[in-house]
Amino acid sequence: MGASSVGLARRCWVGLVLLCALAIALMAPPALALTPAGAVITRVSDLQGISHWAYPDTEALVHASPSAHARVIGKLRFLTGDEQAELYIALASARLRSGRTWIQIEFPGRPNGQTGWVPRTALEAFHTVDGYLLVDRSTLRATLFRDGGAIFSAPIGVGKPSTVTPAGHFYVMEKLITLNAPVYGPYALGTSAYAPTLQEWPGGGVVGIHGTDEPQLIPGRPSHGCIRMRNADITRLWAIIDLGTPIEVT
Amino acid sequence: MPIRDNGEQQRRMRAQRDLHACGRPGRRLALTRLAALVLLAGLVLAAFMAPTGQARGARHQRSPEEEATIVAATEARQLEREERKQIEREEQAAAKAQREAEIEAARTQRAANKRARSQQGGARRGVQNSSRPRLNGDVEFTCTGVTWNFKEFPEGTNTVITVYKLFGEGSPVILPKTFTFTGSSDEATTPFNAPPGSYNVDAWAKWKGNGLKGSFDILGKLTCGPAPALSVEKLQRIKNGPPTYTTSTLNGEVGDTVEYEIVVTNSGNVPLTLTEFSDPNCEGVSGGPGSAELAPGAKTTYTCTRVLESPGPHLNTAEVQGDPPYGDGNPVSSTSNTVTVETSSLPANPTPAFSIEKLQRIQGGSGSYTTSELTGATIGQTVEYEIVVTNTGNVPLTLGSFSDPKCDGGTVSGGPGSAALPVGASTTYTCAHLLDAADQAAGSYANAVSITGTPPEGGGLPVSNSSNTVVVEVPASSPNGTGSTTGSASSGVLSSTFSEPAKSGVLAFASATLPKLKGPQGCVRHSFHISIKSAGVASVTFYMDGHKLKKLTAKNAHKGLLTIAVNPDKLKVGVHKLVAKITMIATASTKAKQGSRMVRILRCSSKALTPKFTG
Repeated sequence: MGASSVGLARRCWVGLVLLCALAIALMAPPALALTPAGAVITRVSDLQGISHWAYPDTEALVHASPSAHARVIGKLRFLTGDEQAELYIALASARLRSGRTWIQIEFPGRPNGQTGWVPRTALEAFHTVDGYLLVDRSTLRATLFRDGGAIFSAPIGVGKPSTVTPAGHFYVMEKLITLNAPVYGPYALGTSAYAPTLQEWPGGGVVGIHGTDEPQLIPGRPSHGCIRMRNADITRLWAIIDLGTPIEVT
Repeated sequence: MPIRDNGEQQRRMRAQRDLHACGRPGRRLALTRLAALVLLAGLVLAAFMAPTGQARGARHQRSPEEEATIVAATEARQLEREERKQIEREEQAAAKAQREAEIEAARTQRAANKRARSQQGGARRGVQNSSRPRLNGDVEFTCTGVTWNFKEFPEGTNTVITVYKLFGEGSPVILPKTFTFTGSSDEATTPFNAPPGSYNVDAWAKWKGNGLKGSFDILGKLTCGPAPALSVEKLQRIKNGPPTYTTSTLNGEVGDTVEYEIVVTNSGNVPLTLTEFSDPNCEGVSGGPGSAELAPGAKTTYTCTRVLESPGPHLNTAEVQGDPPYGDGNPVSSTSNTVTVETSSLPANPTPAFSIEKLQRIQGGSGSYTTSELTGATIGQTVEYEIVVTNTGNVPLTLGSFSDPKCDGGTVSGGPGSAALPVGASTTYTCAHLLDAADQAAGSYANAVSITGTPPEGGGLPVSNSSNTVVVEVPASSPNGTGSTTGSASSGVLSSTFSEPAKSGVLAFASATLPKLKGPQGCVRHSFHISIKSAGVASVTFYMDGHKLKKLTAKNAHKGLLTIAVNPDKLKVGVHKLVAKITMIATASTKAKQGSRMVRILRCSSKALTPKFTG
């Protein structure tokens, strides 16, 4: 009887220790845990001031950490669903002991918000962009900041409750002139965001920023996830926003 | 024994006293009745015996005829008085009815005026005082002005002098004005835009002439709140056409440039900061107050232009937002009228033509751009070029095939891009060239730029022109075979050392590594160039997806580069590989090295498409 009590207590202690170890392992930042020892990581984009982006040079694999042996989460691609040049915003660089440099990128796809690492040689030269576009779903307003100040602000329409506009950090992927589609207005911006509820949509459900033929619905929540503006507003924004500009949807 | 109160005792004592004074009660009552009868008889007799009022005071007794005459006259006077009173009552009733009709008419007129002003969009606000009706005029105060109603004037021409005073903070605002109208009535308005605040108002009018003289002076109070408002009017004219701007529809031709004026007026009573100016079909927007506030009543003008690139109507509308100071109301926006240019097709005799002028200067020098020869230039200096292209024909032109052997790769900028150059318009390209050993070896060089202008379909054939030739002298100040060429801040394409004199424009590099290919990034949609440094290269053959494009040798080198132009029109959307197979020059110590370089060419769809967004 006494021996079984002692055994039970031991098992409880062992279980508790295992649970604590598991909790500690889960709480540790995975990137840090997987970053090669000695790597020097430098942030290259702050997503509100100066940021950098690049076109891919190869269809390189995207890894979960800056190592060729790390888990592969996808690969770079050259063309978007609208057959425009895909680009990637660079978040950080990691210089390894070996001298190789890896770049952490925002990796568009579902779920939104993925990041991954590619060798520096997988990307072409960096382009610099200043500022970011803030999309506030509560105030239904989009504001473009540059040099620390707002240079553009306009009311917007966002997704309905059933097809909500996703929140998070994204960027301007493409600048388009719309043809034969008054519903999109005269100009459109493709983003790196994907609508969470419309996976079967042609093109994969990319969230765009575009004009509209129903300006009376702006500001409001009439869309399938896209961000709609009055045609005059998207025309102005299209003219002043740069490719690769970070977008923050709150 | 029962107890009685004092009141009952007193009543019993008074009854005993009466009994003692009058003896029996029946006898006393009889005496009282007798006295009353005597008094009544006397009164009746006096009434019969007394004379009439008219005869009272008469000294003699009248005859019956006289009495009859007097009675008749009295009756006539009474009848006359009654008739007069009846007439007066009727006149009073008529006057009252007239006054009521006038008041009602004035009320109806004011209501009609108010409705009319409301329908005209006239914002009336903050009215704390309504005027009283006047015989010949009335007045209505608002924060946007005073409205005068003149009525019941003689037919013909009437002139009224009015003065409207507004007493608030500071000196009173006085708005004198003279109205002239024809007919018996008219309405006039003295516009005003009162800033927020409370005011005493005094409206005074005077008229004399046309057989009528009169005036009124009406006082009142007015309280006005902040009312931000603005209006936008858009006007247009065809460049090189009639100089007057108009809101009317104009007729233009393809290639014409439309000039627009957008006049923004602060029609409210608080200052506005104009933001979010929008005019989607206009380019080169300038003017406006910038970040400065636009005062109430003030106007500002924006200008912009548009090139008519296709037949059909070209519509333009501008929109402006005005932000009032904090606490003075919400931002307001206004959309202008829409102006239209009906654009006919190309001219009957399309004549595509353009001119090119090339100018140059030494970077960092004190001289300005010139077409003259630059002398005394030295190796390492950079020559900056300005190429001005002017469309001298009568159709717009899309410029292409820009060729200038002395524009270093990557330095060309400016120009209209893919947009058409309007008729009569000019555009400027810039580029630069780093003076190198080859230039010095030649002693001087001369060059010109050539460009092709392509009109729209039906506008004639493409035309090519060359600019004037400019000359740069690079005297041999450094001994041949030594020296260094440093990188140019403008191009960054040359950074090398050389050890022997230049031969045929090819430098023999110490390094025999294969030069890299320089190609476009991102999408290609138009013609582009692929170049490779010619230094040490004997020949290079370019392939696109395995198909041979062109072979170049050292003889084809320009500015140290071997370059081919690639037209991507025949490339499918997607990724393509352009490979350069390179053969290096053999030296005394090395064999002719061979190798290849590759660049990826990304052919994209046009930017103009139907997006695949979720919408």
